[in-house]
Amino acid sequence: MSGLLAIASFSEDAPVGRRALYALRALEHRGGSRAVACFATEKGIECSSGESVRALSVSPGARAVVAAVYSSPSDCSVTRIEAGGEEAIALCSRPCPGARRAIEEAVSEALRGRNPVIDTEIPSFVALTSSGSIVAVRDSAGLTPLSVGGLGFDAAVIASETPAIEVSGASPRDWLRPGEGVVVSRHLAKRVEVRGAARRGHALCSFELLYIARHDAIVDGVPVYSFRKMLGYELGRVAKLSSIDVVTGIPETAIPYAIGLSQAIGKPFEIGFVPTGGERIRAALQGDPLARLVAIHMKMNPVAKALEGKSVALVDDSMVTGATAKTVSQILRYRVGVRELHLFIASPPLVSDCPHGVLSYDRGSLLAANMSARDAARYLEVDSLHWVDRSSLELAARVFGVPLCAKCFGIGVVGGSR
Amino acid sequence: MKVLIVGSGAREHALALMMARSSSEPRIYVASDYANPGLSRVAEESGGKLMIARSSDPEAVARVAEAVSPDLVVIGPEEPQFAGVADELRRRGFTVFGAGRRCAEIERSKVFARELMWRHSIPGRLYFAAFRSVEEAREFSRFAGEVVIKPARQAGGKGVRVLSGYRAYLHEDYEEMARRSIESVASGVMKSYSDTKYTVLVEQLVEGVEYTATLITDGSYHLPLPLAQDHPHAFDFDIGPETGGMGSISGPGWLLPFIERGEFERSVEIVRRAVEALQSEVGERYVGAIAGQMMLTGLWGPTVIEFYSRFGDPEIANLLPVVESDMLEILDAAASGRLASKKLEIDETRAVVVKAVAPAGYPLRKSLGKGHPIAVDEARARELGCVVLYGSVEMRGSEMVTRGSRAIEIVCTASSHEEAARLANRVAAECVRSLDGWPLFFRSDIGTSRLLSKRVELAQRVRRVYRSKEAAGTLGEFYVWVPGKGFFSNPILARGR
Ligand SMILES: Nc1ncnc2c1ncn2[C@@H]1O[C@H](COP(=O)(O)OP(=O)(O)O)[C@@H](O)[C@H]1O
Ligand SMILES: [Mg+2]
Repeated sequence: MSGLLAIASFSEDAPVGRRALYALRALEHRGGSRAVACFATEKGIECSSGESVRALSVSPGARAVVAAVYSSPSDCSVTRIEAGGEEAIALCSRPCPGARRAIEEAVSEALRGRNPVIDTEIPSFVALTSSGSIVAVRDSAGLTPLSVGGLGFDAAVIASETPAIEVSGASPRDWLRPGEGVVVSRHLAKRVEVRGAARRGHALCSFELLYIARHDAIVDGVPVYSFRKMLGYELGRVAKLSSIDVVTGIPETAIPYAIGLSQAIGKPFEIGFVPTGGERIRAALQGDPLARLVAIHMKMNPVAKALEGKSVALVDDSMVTGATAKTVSQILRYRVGVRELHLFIASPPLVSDCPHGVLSYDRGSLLAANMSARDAARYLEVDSLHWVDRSSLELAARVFGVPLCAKCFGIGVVGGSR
Repeated sequence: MKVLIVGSGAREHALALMMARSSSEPRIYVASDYANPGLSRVAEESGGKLMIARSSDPEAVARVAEAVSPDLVVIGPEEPQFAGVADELRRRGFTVFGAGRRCAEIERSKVFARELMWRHSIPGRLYFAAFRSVEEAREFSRFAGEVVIKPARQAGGKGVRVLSGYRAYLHEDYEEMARRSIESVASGVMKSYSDTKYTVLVEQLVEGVEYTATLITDGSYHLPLPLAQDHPHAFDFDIGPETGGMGSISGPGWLLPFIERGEFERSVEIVRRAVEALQSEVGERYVGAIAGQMMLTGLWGPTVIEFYSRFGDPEIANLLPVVESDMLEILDAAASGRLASKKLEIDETRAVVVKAVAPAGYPLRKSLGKGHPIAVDEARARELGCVVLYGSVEMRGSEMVTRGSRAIEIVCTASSHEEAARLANRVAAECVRSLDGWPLFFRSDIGTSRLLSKRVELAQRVRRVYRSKEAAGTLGEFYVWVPGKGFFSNPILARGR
């Protein structure tokens, strides 16, 4: 996974280097193992990279910055290109070795103020030329979102998520449609649209709404928090369990789902865990199993007396290998002593590889693809196991008017088209 | 009947076209700074002509007027008003539509306008502080946070810095931006003007949707125009530097889709009260157009950002396709104090979208956008039902070249904004061409539902705030408590403490 950012100032009185670094921190949940920032100087493009945003250095006086965070070094996609006779650098949402020429073409055309015609699929990207122009384009498949913001009359900010725009001090103005882009060059800013075969059919990656985005983000016009609460509500409505005493969620993505579920079944929501470390740790984004376990252990100290002796509905946003669920069920059973444990997963069972290469995992390690429901419940030591079903996901996608790619759930595309 | 228009741009072109339709079949003369092809054509077709004259030189304009001997003079832009062109013409016995120098002070000096509102307790006023010296302003603004820094004088849409989105972790950037803005106001924009006491204005920042409320007045009777909304940002998505306005929308009818009738009425009332306050202070009748550049804010509801002592450009172009009354008759009636009997009739079924096309370089590096030949396919624009207005372009021999500002304005009308915007986008993209390859730009988003729905959303948000303030009796107040110093309702003053 990745988070992209581009900031360009229209005025020499309004430098954006500091803003860029703060904004990038608001994207760190999208990738915590690699960070890159590039800015234009008199001498060309200067880049800084490291394991985290804190390791980066960007000149505070910079007037044009592109930056990205990646969840693993192998997702990192920094491409040097040539556009309009200039050197440029493109930071892509995912590695796309075959798309380099297409990106070069898209950037060159955009800089000329023209709509690029492109026949291969390209990822979302932000690009910076050595003279300080910025081009940001959303992938034509529409999988990876980008939003546009403005800082008074002084700067434009483009980011994977709206909170990054807000943290930079700017206000979100709109979101880019699939294949839509913005170019900000010295004397002109323009909206461009990628045309060509790559434009056929598009949908947002479900995981953006289910898991990746911050609760305070608006993704493709969808308030993420409300979307999550609705799915939680659906989980409760469909499950019809009467024996539950309390509802809790795994911090922190699962919290709105748990609140929705709690409201659906009329049972109280309790804080079940307190994370250590302060920063949002994305366990499922850790590629290495040991690192994943470390992350889980760090964020899962139980508030034992809130749950002890109760019949607990435990909510998580998704289940990949089941490692988180297994660990948490052990904590709740043995350290806390719950009476019953019912596990609710706020997404459908993950059964296939991502055909778009947005998510990288090994199908062989997907719990839902390799285990029967009965075995899964036994392995996880839960009294019941519930997933969001297809019709609930469809309903939410329709209510929020967003087409969602759910191919990894074996479902295809659901929801409204726009 | 003979009419003389003073001014050179698209606003004057729109006024000329409206007056040309009059049943009095006027001969239209224009005193223009340059050979605007649109203005020359309307003038010639009516049997008049365009004469080159420095429009802000009272003597030069008076000479043209003496030669033409018009029954009515209409002054378009603000600079001739500031320079006293209306006063000079009135002194010589001409009938003039357009504010005199003293009345135009309401636009020329932003400090005067704010003070006037405070002295007369006119609603929609903002807190402010005005400075003569850069040092004082700089010191004051060091910890200012969220404020707007402006040149104290109207400077043609330049130099305003909106320091929005203050975040304490970015305080170094905000201090730096405030410091540099003050310096560039003093050493840049304000340097060319020696006619004001103050240099820098620092005022309370507000957020909301902007719109323009215009009145035609003869000093005692006021005729409101339909509301219009201008778009100050240069580029799509409301990003980019401040411009004179990249396009405006209006209708259907008198309101905008995000402004309610009560808000329209309050806005008109604010402008009306400003006219009365102004007349009482300067001891002179206000004859001409006056507009409130308004913002619907959580602080006040209708709030004044600044006043125009004339018709807005591009806003006046919005009237062109919908006005049903005889505009010449109305302007003439205002100029001679007979407005009471007049009514402004419009086609209330039409939405109007106006878009400006400008050369790259506008607005921050106008010199780059200057001198580029362009061509306009007016026949095609007409086929699409749109009118083309000529702004910052002039004839150089048989060639039409840009002058660096907004070159062309396209006026389209339809039953919805979406449709009118679609037409305007087609005309802007297909009918206005650069002949030397220099890029031209326009905003494709103005008038689209995509943008309009954002305005509606924002208006609803601020409406909730001002309604609750209204209920609490704290409209216009913003309280600040500085422990040990006191409780203030003036956020600007409190900052300085
Ligand atoms: N107090 C304010 N709060 C927020 N925005 C403002 C404020 N004053 C001005 N602006 C913004 O700056 C723009 C230009 O300011 P204005 O006073 O109209 O100056 P100009 O004479 O340059 O048109 C306005 O259209 C508005 O968008
Ligand atoms: Mg203004």
